[in-house]
Amino acid sequence: MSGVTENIAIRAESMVKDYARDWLGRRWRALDGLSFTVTCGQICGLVGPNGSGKSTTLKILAGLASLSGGRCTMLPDRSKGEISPGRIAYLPETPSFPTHLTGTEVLTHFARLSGLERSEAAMAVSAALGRVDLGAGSMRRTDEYSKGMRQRLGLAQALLRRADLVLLDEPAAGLDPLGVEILGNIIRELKSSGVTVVLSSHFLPQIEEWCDSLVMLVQGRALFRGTQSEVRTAGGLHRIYVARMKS
Amino acid sequence: MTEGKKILQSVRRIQRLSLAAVRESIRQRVAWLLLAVALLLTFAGMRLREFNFGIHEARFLSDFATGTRTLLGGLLALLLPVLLFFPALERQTLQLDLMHGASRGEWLFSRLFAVWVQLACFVAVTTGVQAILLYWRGLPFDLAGLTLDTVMAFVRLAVIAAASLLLCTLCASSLLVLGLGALFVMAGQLAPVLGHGCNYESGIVCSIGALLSGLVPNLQILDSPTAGTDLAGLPAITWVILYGSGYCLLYASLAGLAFFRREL
Repeated sequence: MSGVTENIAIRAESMVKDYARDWLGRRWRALDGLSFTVTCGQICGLVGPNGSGKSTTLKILAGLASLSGGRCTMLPDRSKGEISPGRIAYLPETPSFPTHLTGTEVLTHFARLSGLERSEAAMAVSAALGRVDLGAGSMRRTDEYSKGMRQRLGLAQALLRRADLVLLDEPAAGLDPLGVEILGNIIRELKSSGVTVVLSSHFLPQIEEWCDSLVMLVQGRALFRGTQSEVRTAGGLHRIYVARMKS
Repeated sequence: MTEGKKILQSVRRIQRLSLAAVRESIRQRVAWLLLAVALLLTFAGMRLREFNFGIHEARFLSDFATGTRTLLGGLLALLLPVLLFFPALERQTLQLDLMHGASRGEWLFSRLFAVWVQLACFVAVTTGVQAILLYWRGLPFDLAGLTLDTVMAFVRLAVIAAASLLLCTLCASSLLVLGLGALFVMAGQLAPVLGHGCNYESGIVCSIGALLSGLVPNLQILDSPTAGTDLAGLPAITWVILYGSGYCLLYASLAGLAFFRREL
């Protein structure tokens, strides 16, 4: 096994995902033989048009959806063994929370559910709220939150515990420019602490800047795979995206 | 980590999720509304007691309260699992709970437990008000009999709630669950009649009928505890609890199996 292979965090091989369309057994295919690898501590970006399979890929990596075919193995480090579900953090596409709870109560619920004791949970909640700059709004009920605030709270719940793998589905959606900057800083912090991050986004300039490797999905297949430098050599992500979509 | 510690953590997670589910139900106000209507109807029995068709007043008031409890409690037992299951699925709060260490089984059981707690409160409050009403009117009532009624009413509603949760895990829409749930209650209520109507000794249709009638409990047993005494030779209340618990366990297990396979 080569040195590069040893550092593979995620290895997706010919992943196929079919969803049931109706009770007659008819199905539609969301992923159609998708293959890619992500190295440990790397930031991997998934781009592609709506319905290309980005969210499905993230759900499969999170263990929330099962594969219909193919294989997906996650090995953050040879010494640690396979990533356990408890070591994966996930931000869904449109995070929504119990509306009768405040932001702090929501995070405390998740922290306690994760097994943290009361004092540890309080510290983790305070730290996560600080990281996403939601301190002032954290005492308001979540039904009073704007879309951007819900997104920040969603990000905060993903940062509550130290994770081996962080999965972010459209993390920049609904965020104001300052929020996007905070998100960029968080992603850079995660990278510097050795956490592997897989994120999907339609914000091509940001994703090109943040990610070490990129996978472009179209109809459940990888139409392009490359590193940040390869993308830049080819004239940028926007150019690749438009060219591949036209072809 | 030892097995004991794992179980303890699992119990804590169920407790936490159940508490969150009860708070969510309180916010939805459906349980409060149905409880208020049930209490209103129980009190209305006082006004309607003149239309008692010659029955003793105490009996009329008790029957009226029991009818109210059965009807509105059944509605609550069908509605609560639906209201706690589908919004969590649509708003993706279920996914976040799962990502923070809860298993699907724990999440599902916490919903059922939260519903059972609310149904127990509903039955206790309505029966309590019934007792107060009888006492206030100076009518005789049997405390032991009333307690027995309370336990039976709860067991009956617990079975309906477990069946409703099973339907939630199998169906795609809440409306379908409510429709099938209503059919389930009707089939359970008419189980003895349906049983007589089919000759189980011949034909594949009757075999399927026998299988289906085994899957649907005879809710009349849960209405009248004496119906089951000859079958097992057990005290009536023990038989009712065992009968109801068996169905609750069956439905909860089937719901767990279906939920493990469900796409989120």
